Amino acid sequence: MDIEKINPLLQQLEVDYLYHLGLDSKMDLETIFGTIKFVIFTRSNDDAAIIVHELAKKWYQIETNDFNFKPIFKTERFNLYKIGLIMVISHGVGIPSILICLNEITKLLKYLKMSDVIFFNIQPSGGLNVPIGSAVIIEEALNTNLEPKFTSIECGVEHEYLTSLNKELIKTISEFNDIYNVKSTFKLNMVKGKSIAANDFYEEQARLDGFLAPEFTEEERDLYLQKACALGVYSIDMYSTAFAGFCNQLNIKAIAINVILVDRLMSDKILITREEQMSVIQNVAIFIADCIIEKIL
Amino acid sequence: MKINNLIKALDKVYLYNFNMIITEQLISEFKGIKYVCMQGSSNRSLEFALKLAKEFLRIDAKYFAPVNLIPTSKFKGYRIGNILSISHGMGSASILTMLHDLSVLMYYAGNHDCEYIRLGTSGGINIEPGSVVITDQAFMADLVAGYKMSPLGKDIIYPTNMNSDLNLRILKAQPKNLGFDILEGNSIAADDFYLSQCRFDGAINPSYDELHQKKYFEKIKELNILNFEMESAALASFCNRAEIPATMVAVTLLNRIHGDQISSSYNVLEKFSLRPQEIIVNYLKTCN
Repeated sequence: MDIEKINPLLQQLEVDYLYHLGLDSKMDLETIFGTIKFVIFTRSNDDAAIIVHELAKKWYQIETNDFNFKPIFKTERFNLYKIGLIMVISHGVGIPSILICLNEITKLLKYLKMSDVIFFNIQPSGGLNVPIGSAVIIEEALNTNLEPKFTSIECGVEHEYLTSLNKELIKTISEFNDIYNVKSTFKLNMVKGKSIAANDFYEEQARLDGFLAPEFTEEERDLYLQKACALGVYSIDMYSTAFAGFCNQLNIKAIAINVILVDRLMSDKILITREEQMSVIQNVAIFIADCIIEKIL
Repeated sequence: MKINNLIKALDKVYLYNFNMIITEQLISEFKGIKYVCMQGSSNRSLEFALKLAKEFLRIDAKYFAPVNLIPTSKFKGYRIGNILSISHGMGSASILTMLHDLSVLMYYAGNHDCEYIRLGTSGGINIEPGSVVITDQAFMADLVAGYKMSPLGKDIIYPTNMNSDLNLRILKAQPKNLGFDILEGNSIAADDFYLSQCRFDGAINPSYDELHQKKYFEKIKELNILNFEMESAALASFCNRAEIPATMVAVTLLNRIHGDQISSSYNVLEKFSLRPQEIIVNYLKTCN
């Protein structure tokens, strides 16, 4: 992270209230948080708890599954955890929600004087041409118009940001997975490619099964998804453009992994049960815990 | 209420975002709901359910814990009589996702004439903190009245008028001595808390300065926009398309003319954030 690029106007604030985290810059943040090397962002509280569980087992070498970690500070908006050098936070559904979280976590890291931090984004998502349970490492995020950019309106004016993600980290993780799949009993199918970020779960993800009648037909949906496939898109999520666009502005080393819950070429609906969804997320969480703790740290 | 014909025909309806399969039992749990009150945070939905229980069922909150009916960590919902108190998370994408699943559920439960009210917190523009705004029309951050979606990459802007009859009924239900202002005007739904709301205190160095902000706020004033929040445009566009009467009642936690930070004490913020609930309880008393 390029600390120099963080908003210099923050220095003029007597105290900065990180309203949605329930923290402020006057608190003894260094004593509370210590060193942080990783922040893992994920959508829901439930998924954050699964990831935390696997990280804690690995980090603290806990043999049993019979334990729970508690989120710290305000839990009204996000659930924040810390395991060793790793912070995990749930950020809610959609781009506006993750942007609030990214801003406040980045400001927290600034007050902690932590610049050597990697941001990890793990999301359940729909897949294109990849089996359920796969992990898609995002090389570049696209908007629904299939353009590699994040558009943000600032003081009424549109600005665009690049959405590619850190190539070095992508290489590290995919190489780790190649070795992992040889030595581990458990195999994780991993592909590298593009992802579309949509602003809602239904229409912008080209689903026909929302409450509102969509303005496109089944044939148009299929053509669109095929066009996306031809461009190297492997997943559709609700975060990747904003996540990449934000991190790129501050030179934050960032990686985004989508966990595939449905093959969108076959179905709009997610057909696996909640238990199956959780086990898919858990598998990726185990891999990520191993990868971070054995390889990256 | 107007539903997508494509889902009417499905024999099994699974609501992924609510983690629910529509069954007879589920329908019986939700049948008869007329008023859906939605708020960003799950905590506040629970607090409101307790307040409704006290007002309408005369149950003391000390002896009562509302049961969450939505089995996911993303959203929480509590039923008190014909009222559902539900959370929608933060931002347009979150509320839209919730509205789809909620409306399918309401439809299958036979609640075809329900109304949706969002009780929100917001940043006021040119008005006293603690004032409550009832929204006429929602704007996007580029000051276009409407909500833009891009399914399959094609931009469509949907109208974002709130239901004026519902606004009138809510206003008429208020006593004279509320103790704070309730103002009718327009709202901006921004897709970010910081840059889209023209704040200077985000992590990223803003591309604009105070002069730009001043000009932007002047245009806002001309459009009778009274507050910034993050959901009204998505809510209004969805409900217009679905033919569901809807509006938003949002308290302002600060006056953005004087700054960006929400720095009032916890007690003051708590007091302010209860005001939309007070207004809607007054309204619901005239309905029930």
